[in-house]
Amino acid sequence: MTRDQQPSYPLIHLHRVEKVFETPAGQFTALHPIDLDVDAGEFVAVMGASGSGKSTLINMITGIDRPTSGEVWVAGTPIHTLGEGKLAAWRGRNAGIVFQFFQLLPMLSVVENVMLPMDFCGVYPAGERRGRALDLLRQFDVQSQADKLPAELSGGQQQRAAIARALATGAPLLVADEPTGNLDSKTAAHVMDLFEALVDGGKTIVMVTHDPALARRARRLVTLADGAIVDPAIATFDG
Amino acid sequence: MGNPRWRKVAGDLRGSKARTALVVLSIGLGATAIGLILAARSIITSEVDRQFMDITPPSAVLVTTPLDPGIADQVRELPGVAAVDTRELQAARIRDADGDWHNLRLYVPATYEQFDVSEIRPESGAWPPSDGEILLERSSIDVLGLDPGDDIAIQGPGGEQLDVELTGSVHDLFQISTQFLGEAYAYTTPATLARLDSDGRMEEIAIVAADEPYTRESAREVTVQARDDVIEPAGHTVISTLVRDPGVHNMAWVVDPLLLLLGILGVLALLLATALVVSTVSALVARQTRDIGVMKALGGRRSQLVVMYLSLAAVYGLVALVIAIPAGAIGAWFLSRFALQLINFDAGGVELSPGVIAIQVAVGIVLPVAAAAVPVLRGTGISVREAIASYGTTTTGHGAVARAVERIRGVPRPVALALRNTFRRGTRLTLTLVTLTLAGAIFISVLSLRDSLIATLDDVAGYWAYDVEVNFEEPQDIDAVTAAAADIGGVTGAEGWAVKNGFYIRPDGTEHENIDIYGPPADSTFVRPTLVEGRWVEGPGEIAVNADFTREEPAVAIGDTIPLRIEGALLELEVVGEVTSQLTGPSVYLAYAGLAGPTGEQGQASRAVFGIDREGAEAQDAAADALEQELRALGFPVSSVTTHAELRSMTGDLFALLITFLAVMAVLLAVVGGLNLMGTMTLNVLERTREIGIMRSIGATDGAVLQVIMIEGLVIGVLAWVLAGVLSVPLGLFMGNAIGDAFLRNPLTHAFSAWGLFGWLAISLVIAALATFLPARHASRLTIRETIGYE
Repeated sequence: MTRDQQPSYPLIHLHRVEKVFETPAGQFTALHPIDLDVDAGEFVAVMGASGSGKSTLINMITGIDRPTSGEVWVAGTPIHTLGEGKLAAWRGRNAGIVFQFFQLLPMLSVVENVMLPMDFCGVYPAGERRGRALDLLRQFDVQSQADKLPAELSGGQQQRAAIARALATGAPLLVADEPTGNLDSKTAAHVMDLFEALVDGGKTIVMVTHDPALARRARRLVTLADGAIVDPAIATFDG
Repeated sequence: MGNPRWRKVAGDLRGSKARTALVVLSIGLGATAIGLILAARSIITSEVDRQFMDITPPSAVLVTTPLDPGIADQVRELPGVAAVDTRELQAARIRDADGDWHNLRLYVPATYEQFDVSEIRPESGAWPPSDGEILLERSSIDVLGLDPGDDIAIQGPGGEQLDVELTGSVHDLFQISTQFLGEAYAYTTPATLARLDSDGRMEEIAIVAADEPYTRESAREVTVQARDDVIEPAGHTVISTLVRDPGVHNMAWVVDPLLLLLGILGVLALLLATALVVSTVSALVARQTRDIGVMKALGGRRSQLVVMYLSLAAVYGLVALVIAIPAGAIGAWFLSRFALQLINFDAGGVELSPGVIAIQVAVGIVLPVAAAAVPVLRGTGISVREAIASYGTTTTGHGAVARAVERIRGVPRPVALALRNTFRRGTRLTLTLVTLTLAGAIFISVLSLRDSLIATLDDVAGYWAYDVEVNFEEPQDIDAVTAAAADIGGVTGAEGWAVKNGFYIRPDGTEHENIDIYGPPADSTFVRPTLVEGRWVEGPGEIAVNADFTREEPAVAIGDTIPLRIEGALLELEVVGEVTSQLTGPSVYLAYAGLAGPTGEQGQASRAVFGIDREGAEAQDAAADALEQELRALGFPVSSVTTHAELRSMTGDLFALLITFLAVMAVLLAVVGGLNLMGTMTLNVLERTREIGIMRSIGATDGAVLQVIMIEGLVIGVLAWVLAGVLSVPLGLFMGNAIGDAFLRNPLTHAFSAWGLFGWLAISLVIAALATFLPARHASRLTIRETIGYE
């Protein structure tokens, strides 16, 4: 789906979403009630100091965590109402996640890591999954590492493989938490190039970063401070 | 297997070969034990039944004075009798390969051509023997160390010596193996037997009842019929009868407790294996917390993850079964062969029983899967956020125990830190402690059971306080015997006992088959009865019964007057006390005067017992030889001589089997328990690799890190030891009671093994040290960057 073909309602709709954690030291409000809409095809960077609530925010979007109150709608689904099982299944098909530390399963080869979400979600016929996984790896120029274990790859290669994995089920949304935090600047720039290409191809990307230079590569900036959005549209870049 | 989920399961199996091997070994041990025991029991039971019934065992055996010709035919013609066979019997002595004398039963069957009852089968050599030749029962050949072709010396009761040639061996399955009874069995011709000039010859008449031949009722009926309608009216005397458990071999009871013990230990081994599976899967799932979170983030549902991890447990079981099924079958063959040959049966073949295999499969797969279910369900229930955020540093448990430990003061810092670390993760600690405690409790209990068996043996042997027992072919003058013994150096005391066989007559007129009746002097110093109830006999008219008798005749109580028939005399006796079993079956005690008087043998004794001034088997053997020589030289018809050491040894051989098995199982269980601790401690340390890095980044030296972790391991080892010691008390009691009931039909004399307790402490500490040292040293050698970045 290209950007011109995106539907008019937001892909991501957060309404009065609040998150409070119970800790031994007492209650901690990671997110004050916030509202946020992200349209399909957007490339959004989420910035903020440590403890500002960035990771909590994207955990709400991916369903990794549940809001204490409020509503979270993603791709037309009220994910805040889903049980764990349905949430996992929804997440596999609708939200590809890229982690800072890659999080490739160490005992599976690179291509098997990419195949895993297809297997869990039951998408694509079993006989086609390996071919599709290799295609994705080729797109990110790591197909030659397909049968190696993650530990045998460089950081950049692992992250590219992780991005391929995040796209394995054809999810429309890509969520990345500090995707370049463990990479050198050159590799980080290359990853950003990949993200831009994906957005041009119709993907929606929400990326957490603390690096202003990387944030400028996105088309919109959301800044968080002390669990609140400072200004949702303060940095809308021409894209 | 291109499916990545199953590739992950395969990867987990391969990822830690040591852990996989440990779990597979443990499950395999338990499944092997179950298969071995079930298959061995099946083989032994079927072979004992088949082989025993194949020889046409008797319903009853009567030992009588020599029978006139035709008596056997008259018994055969009785309406309730299906078959009869007779053999002459002479008590004698035989010299073994080392020159030592042993008690002997010398038989002459009515014919060697055909056996209608209790078939004797040729094994090797001559068949039948010729005059001047004997055949030995195969169990006797082994014990005596003789070979066909040897010239053998046999001595009759009157001291006359018979030199014969051993020309072959036979298998007389009905007999109790020489190894256990201490008596040898030989078979010869009437002419050879006649060369032993003896008035003490007897006859055995074996009878098979016509209807339901192998019930006690039928056996008792034909016994009474034969005795009252034919034998005694013809003027012969029935000396004793054997109607214990017709259709069941006399030694079958030896195998049952062995199998029971193995059954108990097999179940315990399975429990250990289950605990190990729980512990291992728990550790595996904990170690894969991050991976679980990632898989859920990628779309994996909890049910899918549960199936993956339970499949892992099932594969552990499957691999274990590949080993356990053949190992169980082969082990069953070895065990059944050992047990069958022990009781003089032929070995069976290897069997693969579908029923046993099915049980092994159920145990080997269902049990690990069930054991893994709890940790898998817990581990996969974690949220994605918690899973991805928490791995590498353990969350601090803060339960009551952990808080109490934190308040401990006055200990060095590393010890304080180790103590707190130990109690931080309650579930992991509990799992480790459960497994190690169970292994330790079993280890200590097994050794305590061993000590209990030895204590019981000592108690039983201690019943008879004499050193040498001499039996005469017929009652002898007590004064003459004691005077003869007084001339032998080293003999410190002598008593004459009346010893008879008799029959208890129930109120309904039926009889209990013969019981052993002992008549020591009322003031005897050579018997030390252990009273269960009442008191010892003090004079004529009184009787004390043993626990075996009261078990078979539960209606008899202290204070009852019971009739006893002894050699035609009917005695009415008041039951004054009950004593413990001596493992020889139903026995009763009368005062000497109360037994010798009514049987017309006052002043005479068929048994003389002696004390000597030295201790030990060798001293007893020497004294026995001297007594036998002197008494024979003086013309006393000695039929058998037995030392206290020999009596103890006969019973001890039975116990030795169990004791050996127990020792082997204790070692195996120590290995399994130790491996479990090692595996669990290793995983405990590996999980905290990042913590270790943090500790080192704030100044902890390698040695300090090592110290903390090793102290933690030692604390767990000591804790488990204390719990094992406590648990071993009821467990040991349970095992002792079970084995006592099965083996002795009496409770064991309970003993607690201090060696077992402190031995396990040493094992626990050594294993805890080893299990923590290696991974801790590995972790302490990683760079800080490596450990903090560890995921």
